Amino acid sequence: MKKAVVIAVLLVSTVAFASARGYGGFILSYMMPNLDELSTEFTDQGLDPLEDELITFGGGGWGGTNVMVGGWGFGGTRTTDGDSVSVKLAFGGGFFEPGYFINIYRGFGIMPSVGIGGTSVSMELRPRLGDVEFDSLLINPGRTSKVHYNTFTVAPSLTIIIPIEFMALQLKGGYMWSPFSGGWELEDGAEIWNTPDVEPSGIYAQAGILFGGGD
Amino acid sequence: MKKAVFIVVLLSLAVGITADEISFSGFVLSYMMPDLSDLSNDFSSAGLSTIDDEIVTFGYGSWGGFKNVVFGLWGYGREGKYDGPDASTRMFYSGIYAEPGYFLNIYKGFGVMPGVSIGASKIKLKLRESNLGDTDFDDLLAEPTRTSKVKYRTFTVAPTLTINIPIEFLILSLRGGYQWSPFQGNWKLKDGANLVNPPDINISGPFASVCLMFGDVAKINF
Repeated sequence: MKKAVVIAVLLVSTVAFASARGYGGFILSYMMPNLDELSTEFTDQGLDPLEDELITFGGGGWGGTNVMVGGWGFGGTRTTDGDSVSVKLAFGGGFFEPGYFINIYRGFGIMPSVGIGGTSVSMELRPRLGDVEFDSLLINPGRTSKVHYNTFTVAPSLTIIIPIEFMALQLKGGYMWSPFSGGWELEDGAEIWNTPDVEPSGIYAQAGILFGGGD
Repeated sequence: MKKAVFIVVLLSLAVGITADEISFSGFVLSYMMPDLSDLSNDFSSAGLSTIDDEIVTFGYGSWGGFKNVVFGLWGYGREGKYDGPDASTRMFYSGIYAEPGYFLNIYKGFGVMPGVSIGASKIKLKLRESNLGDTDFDDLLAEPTRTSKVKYRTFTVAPTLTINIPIEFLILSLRGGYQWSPFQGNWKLKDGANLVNPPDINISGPFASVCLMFGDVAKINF
């Protein structure tokens, strides 16, 4: 998620140099990825089930004239506890997003656009752990695991920009579509088998507070 | 280290925006001498290969300012792998600094710049058992005990002296300084538990850097 936000900020910085109209700021998103199969795996292991509805936080920026180019990223975490294991799940993504701004009245307008990027699910798994001596950690470091799922995602959307002085309120709705099945990777480099399917495809809605402006 | 590089790139962009009189940025190759002997002894006791106190690091930096007053940001990092019979450890040694300085132009951009770097140094250890095999997703959920991550971070001040040698559109910078960590840093286990009896680390030590910078030399022909 942090990486996605950093990429988004970098894109914002790039956009800021080359725009007659430019916005950048914070985004709150409501998302509905399909995590049913992963949730079933969780309940099989005595963990709490995962909700498909997630609130995520992020940032983004767009700039241009009528042809706008931008980028945005999002991320959110959820912790699920079981009898012996706790899982911290992070859902995030980052998109490059070209669009076309239709100015209706003095900067108030709509922008159809298409986000092209990726979404990811990462899980940090941790059993009940006690404190540890540094020396023994060097010999027996097996305490936690981290696993990632990444997939390519396309996200068509429609944005309404409402300028308010030097800020703008952004209201956006769209659909995230992941046409290909992504891959699970263990951070320690080993292979992981019999992984659940994760389907990030789903509708999303966003509200953003953006700084910047244009005519 | 990636995070440090990202932060430096972001801050470098900020410097580039705010400091339009002079600005130059580029790659920094450093030779550093932190005192990691206590950590190295612990590695040795655990059967891991020992850590060399002399480390060559790679990094990126950006400096800019008005007239003679210069403000810069730079960072460095290096990764090493240490294997033993039971476990394998990857160590990331890195740092990130803000550096105000004063550029004394001697002749057409050739000059010296005393500065003081203020920031933090970090050591991150990623530990894994040597005999980790592949795993089933269900087994992983039931028994996730495979790896550990530990971080050490400390505040660091580094007085530096830089010699800038402009060559066409490039600037060769030769830097020397001393990293001083006045306080004992903190060790932290990523999983949130307490780490008992961690080794003492003293980042303090001299360093030397060679930097290949890109910038508008004409702008520093005061």
